[in-house]
Amino acid sequence: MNKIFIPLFFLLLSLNVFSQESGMTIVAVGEAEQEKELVTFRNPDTKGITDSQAKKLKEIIRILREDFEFYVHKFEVDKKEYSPSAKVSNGHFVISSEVVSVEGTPWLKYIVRDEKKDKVLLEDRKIILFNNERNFAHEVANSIYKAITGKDSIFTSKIIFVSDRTSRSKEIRKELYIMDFDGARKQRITFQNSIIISPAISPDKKTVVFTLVDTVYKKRSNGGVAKIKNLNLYSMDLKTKKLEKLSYKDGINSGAIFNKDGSAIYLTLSNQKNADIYKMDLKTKALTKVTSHFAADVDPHINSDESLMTFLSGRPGKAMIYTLDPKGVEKDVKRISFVGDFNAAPRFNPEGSEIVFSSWVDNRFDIYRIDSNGTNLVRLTKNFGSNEEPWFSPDGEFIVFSSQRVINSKKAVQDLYIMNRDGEIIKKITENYGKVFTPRWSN
Amino acid sequence: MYYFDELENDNSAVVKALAFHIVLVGLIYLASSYIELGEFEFAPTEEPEVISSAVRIDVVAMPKLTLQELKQINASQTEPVEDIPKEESPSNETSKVEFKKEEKKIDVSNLLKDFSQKNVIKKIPKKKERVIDKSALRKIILEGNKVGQGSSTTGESLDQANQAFVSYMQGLPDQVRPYWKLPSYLMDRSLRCRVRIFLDANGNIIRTQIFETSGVPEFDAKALEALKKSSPLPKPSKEYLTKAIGGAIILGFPL
Repeated sequence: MNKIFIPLFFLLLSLNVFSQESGMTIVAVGEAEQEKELVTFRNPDTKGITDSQAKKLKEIIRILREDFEFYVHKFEVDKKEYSPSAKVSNGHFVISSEVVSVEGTPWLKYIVRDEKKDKVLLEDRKIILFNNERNFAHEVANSIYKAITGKDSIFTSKIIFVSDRTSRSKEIRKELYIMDFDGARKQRITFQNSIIISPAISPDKKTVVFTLVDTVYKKRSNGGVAKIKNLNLYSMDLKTKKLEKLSYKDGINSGAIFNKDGSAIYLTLSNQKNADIYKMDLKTKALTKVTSHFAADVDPHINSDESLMTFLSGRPGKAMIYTLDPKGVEKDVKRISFVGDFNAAPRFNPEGSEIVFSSWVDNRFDIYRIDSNGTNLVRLTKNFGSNEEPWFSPDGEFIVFSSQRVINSKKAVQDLYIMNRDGEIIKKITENYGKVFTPRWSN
Repeated sequence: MYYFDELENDNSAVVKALAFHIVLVGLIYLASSYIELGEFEFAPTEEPEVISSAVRIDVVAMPKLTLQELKQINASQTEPVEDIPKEESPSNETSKVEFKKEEKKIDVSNLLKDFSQKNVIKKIPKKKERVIDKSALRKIILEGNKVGQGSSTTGESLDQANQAFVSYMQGLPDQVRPYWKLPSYLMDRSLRCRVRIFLDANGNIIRTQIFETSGVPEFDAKALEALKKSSPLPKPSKEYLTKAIGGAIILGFPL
């Protein structure tokens, strides 16, 4: 009988011992870094097209590679050249392409393979736009990127900016321009022969709004006429170039940004003698007040679902960053920044989880990033000239900004750069294009 | 007597009774593992402690260092370069100091030697200074950029006895993070895996156990790979060696 009870007793005892085992402690390692994946582009099979077309196709493949090189933290682009049927042994994602003729029209058929998983991620074909190879290349690059990551890239996005390159010796002129995200194909949009400030581009990339320094003639009380400058807000259809005067109240009509569907803008008005932020319905032009404070509130920016607005306010005595709920007046106002002598241009990432802004430190502006709840303040630029006007890319992975270098007491250059969200400089996208200001990244 | 005699003779009845009791006891234990009966617990269901402490936001100025600079410092921090205890030469030098001090009184000519040797002695603490500087710098960075570790306001206050173990634990993420990498398709998926590690006295990870799976085998494998690459971890000190050996450490990827 004992033979059975004794082991049973020890069994129960041992169970009890295990139950007392405790004191385990967990510590968080933190977010992982992303592994870089090797992307290999095989040269396309070009049979059936002319030599000049084959040359253009080679250029298209070069643009594809260049596009992927922007995501330097995600991908490593294979520098080697591979023939259309060459074996790629070390690649992770391999892109092969060939020209196929459909009723005399050359199409590019391309396949994206995940070699590690031995799986085809995408098989697609598009009519080759030989007369618009950049558009075509960016479209193809975006579809490849999306097949690999499941997200849209920045490859089809545009950047608008202001440049003073048309200034005359004594007359400063600042006009609006547009270019591809990578700095290619710069085009002038406005011919106002005046000064344009704080532009914005609509989510559908069809309309721009901007503020123009207008000369206004006003009657004086003594009967005379006064010539004054006023900051008026305009919108322009990018296709028809048709201009519309949106807001021309006394004082500032500026800092406009679009909401997600492009049906309304948020802007700063100072006709009440104090700058406040308003929402304007673009159809009815009806205004709704968003901020109402005796201190100046300027530079609004909203997140993609319009649930949060960030803006700059002088309420604490210095220019500081705030957030609020734009659905009400002064609703849920929260101060975000508590340091810095002068903070400027707060801009959300698309989700609205982070704000990037510039701050005056050591006699220059540098760019900083902070979480929208006011935590995790990090510095992104340093010893890189004076850096201002940051703006997130539509995927939130990059930031475009203007950087000024003083050459001597009379000369300074100002160009646009792209860095990733952690401050790694990716590319300079303007050069010898006058002084360049206020970059805004489209969808 | 007659009854017991009969019982002893009837083996099958005893076996039956025993079997019945074993089954009964077993059933009670099984039931207790499903029904919470306070201290009468069958399985080790105690929740592991998560290291956390209250922090007070105390940002006093814009950060001086950029994120890129901080990353570089963090990376150099995690390189296991400094093995300070191995430096045994200072003990020789200190004996020299004592020797010199004695001689100093005797001879003036030895003073010159003394001076020259003093320079040599000075060099050694310099090495240590550099190490201190680095950690101090890092401390400043963490404090300046994020938040200072405040005296607890709402967080849990730490047991004094566990303080050494906790600070050892807090140093582990820095060791593992450089190897904690994921392919793009596993990023941004809010996955979480927790791994229990068993160390030896030298800090080598001798065994790993998935404590909480992410549900994606590849994600779990990446966490294990990061641990494998970061082994050996810093040597656990005697105070908490039994804990480190006994698998009291769990690392959360990412939390």
